[in-house]
Amino acid sequence: MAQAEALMDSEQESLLAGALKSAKREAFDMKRALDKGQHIEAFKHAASMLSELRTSVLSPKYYYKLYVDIVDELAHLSGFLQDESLGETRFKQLAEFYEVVQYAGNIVPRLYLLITVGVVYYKMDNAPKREILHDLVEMCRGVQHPLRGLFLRSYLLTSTKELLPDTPSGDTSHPTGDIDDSIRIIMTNFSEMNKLWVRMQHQGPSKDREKRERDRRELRILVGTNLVRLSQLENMNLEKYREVVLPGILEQVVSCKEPISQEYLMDSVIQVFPDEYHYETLHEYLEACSDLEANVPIKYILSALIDRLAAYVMEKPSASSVQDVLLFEIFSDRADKVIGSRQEMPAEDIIVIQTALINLAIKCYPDRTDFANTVFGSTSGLLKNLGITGLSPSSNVGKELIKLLEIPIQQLDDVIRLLDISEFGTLMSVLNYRGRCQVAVTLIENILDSETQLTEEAHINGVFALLDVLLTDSADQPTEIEKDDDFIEGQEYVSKLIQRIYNEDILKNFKLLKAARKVFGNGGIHRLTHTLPPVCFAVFKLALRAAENRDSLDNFDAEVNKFFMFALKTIIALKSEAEQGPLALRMYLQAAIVNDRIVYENNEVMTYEFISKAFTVYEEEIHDSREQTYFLNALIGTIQKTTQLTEENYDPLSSKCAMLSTKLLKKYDQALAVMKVAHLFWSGQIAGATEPMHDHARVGECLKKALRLASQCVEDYVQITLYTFILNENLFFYERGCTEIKLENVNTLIDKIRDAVSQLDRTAEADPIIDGYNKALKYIRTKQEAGSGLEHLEGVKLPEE
Amino acid sequence: MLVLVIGDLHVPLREHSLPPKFKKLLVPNKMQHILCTGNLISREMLDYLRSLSNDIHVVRGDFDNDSSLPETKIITIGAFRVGLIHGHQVIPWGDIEALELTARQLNVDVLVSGNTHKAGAFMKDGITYVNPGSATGAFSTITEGEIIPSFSLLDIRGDVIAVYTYNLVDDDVKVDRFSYDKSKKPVSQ
Repeated sequence: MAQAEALMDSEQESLLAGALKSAKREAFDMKRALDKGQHIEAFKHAASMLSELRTSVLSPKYYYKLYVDIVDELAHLSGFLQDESLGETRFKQLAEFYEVVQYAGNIVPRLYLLITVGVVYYKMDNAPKREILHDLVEMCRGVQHPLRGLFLRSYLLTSTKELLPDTPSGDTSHPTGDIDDSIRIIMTNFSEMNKLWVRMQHQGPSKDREKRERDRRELRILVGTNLVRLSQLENMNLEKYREVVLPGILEQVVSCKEPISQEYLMDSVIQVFPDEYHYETLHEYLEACSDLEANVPIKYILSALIDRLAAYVMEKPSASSVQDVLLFEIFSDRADKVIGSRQEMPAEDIIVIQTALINLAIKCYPDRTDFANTVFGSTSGLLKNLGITGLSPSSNVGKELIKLLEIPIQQLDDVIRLLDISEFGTLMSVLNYRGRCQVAVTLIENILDSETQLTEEAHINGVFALLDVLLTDSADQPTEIEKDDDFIEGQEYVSKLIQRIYNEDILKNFKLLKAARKVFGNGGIHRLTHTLPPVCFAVFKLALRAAENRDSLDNFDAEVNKFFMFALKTIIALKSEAEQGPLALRMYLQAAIVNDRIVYENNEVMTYEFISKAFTVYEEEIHDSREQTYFLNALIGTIQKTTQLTEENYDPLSSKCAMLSTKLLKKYDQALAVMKVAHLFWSGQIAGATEPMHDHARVGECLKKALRLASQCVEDYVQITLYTFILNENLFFYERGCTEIKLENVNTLIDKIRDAVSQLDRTAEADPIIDGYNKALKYIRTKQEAGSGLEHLEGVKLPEE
Repeated sequence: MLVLVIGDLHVPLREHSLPPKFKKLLVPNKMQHILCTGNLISREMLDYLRSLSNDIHVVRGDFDNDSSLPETKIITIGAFRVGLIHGHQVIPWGDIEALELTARQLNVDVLVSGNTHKAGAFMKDGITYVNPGSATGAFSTITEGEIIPSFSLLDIRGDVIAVYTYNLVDDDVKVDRFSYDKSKKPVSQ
């Protein structure tokens, strides 16, 4: 196909070249003749030159090139005619020329010459202007060949640009008339040109139809220029537009029954004339829309018009007229009619139109959510009639529908107002699972970006209803959903959404969280992981907020206790229903600390409960040795942070830590863990105490145990590292006055390490270990140099260098 | 050498994203290394940090489920041995003396830790301590009051380390600076 076209192109190129050559030759002769004053000769040559435009072999693109060059040469002639000396002679000459050219043999050259001469003649005073203009316009009818006729009439239009009267109606100052006459002339030219243009569509064999349509499209601007010319008339006004111009154009458009012409002209009308005109003639325009051919893409025409008028209405400074409010109704009504009249209108097109309507509704009437609702409602209805459901976001219709749904989300920028559009959810459900997820995520993103808060139960219910696809199982969701990345991403969005639930009133806030929790309960095992923890954190924050505003609550103790009971139940569900043991463990520990921070009656019962539940999970589910070390650290750290536990509650917990540390698999890990427990016994604090407990005895026990464990280590690197750790810990407690750290034990340990180090092979592996030992010695030295006493490690013996 | 120190983001369980003003400041390829104290938690946050620099080190926080993350890491940058740990392993949490002990145990010149969601930098006995706080201002059970979103930037040139702490106070980014020269006698606080 491309090859054939290339062949045609090169053929056309050579034909064009030939025609141009001849034309240039004649032009040259014409100019020479004019120089010599041989007018008749000149005209003869001009006519010959113009004969090239009689050709039938050039395609529009190439004919245009020829036309441009020839018209350029005609300008010489025109210039000559204008340059001659003024006076009677010239006037007579022009009159004569005007006669002479009419004797040219062929009609195409004849008419080009007539126009060229006529235009100059016209400009002279005393010329028979009316007749000239009349002649020019009428005679063009003589050329009925579409391509030639179009260019000829185009030449007519451009040449007569300054000639046409542009005076107000009834004004007689202009000899040939007033603006009404000009309008008539241009409208006639327009109609004729459109007829010619349409005729091109039906010429020639049907196999060349595509090429013909392409060729036609290249010529469209010739027809459109008439409309531009009309819009440029100074005395054009709304009345004339409404009474004469628009009806004329629409009549031509509808009656020609040709889609390409219709599409172009309807669009041109909107582009060329001011928005004010369109606003006032909406009825007429939209009526015509209904009468267009079935395959005219009316969605673009309507959308373009709606968008323009929306922008126009927004910019109007004064208060809106009655017309304004009706604008939406007019469009909505008309859109329905148009859609109804076209049986095969594809769903995609329907949605494009509805999108334009929604833009109109939301931009111009942001308070009228009922307008938006109308659009959504009718869209749902239309799609239902077409039997469309389960739209995929990768289909065209699906894409357009998602765009439609996202408009109010972005434009309103406020999900609370979005909830007023009750039909939103219905329309959303036309999409398939992925489509609904996409819209849901967009909705959450908007809530997060705009920092909207959900402050009422109605908000929670409304928003969660729209987000149902993310919150509960859908019939059309894929299997094994927990492995789907998009699913996880969606759930993370829901987690983030929970942070937006807030109410100034603490008890109300709690109600909101409970309502949300209830909905989440239906989410199933894979969703609870993502929804329950944020709910807990929200409750923790709420409890702390309550603690800062104790006086605002009537029965503070009871209410706060409820918060933590709720947290407890939620975490239990996290473990049992969502089967997230490790996560539940972490949440229990967080809950314990927050609970402990708030002073209320019997709060230590709750703290104890949280921590013991954490231990239970640890024992039931944490079996991997690395995980055990990891979670044991968290347990120890948590217990250390509490301050409200009584001794009888603290004791079993800290002892349990000690016991668990000895149950770890590797000796090394056991030793490290038991040293952490030492810190628990040193820095932990029980209820009623003002200072940490400083349990010297148990600290001493822990460190001794650590030492015993270290001595059981087999590998020397591991052992020495451990010894160094133990040394550092001993120094730590010694300098703080722990009575159970005996000086001779510390010194023995230093010697032990020194001996072990000296027996090491000097490898790269050994360096950091030796370095650690030296650092510890350096620490002792620095401390001792700074002063005396326990805190300066007095009595610790540094080994000989 | 610029090093971004950031962590305790807790996305999405406690916070939804970095503050927009921080995102604007964090431009890819400006920082040679990233040290993350942990508790990201989501994959999205890890990918985001990866987009800022090729060399990224992450340690496991108390809410990170990924058991392949190490609990501590030691990285040599310039003349400094930098230790990275989340901090929940340091008992008591946030205790300076316990941190000092940890720094000595790990044998480092700089100790980066998080967990408290409270940013700060200081030097003691020749060791620099850096806590980037929480870049998202995430809720903390152990720190009272409102959590100010923060992160730190280390500028390491030879023997000198400068620590810039970025805090988002009332939607304004405020920067604190602290520096220490290893080659000189330990002085500044």
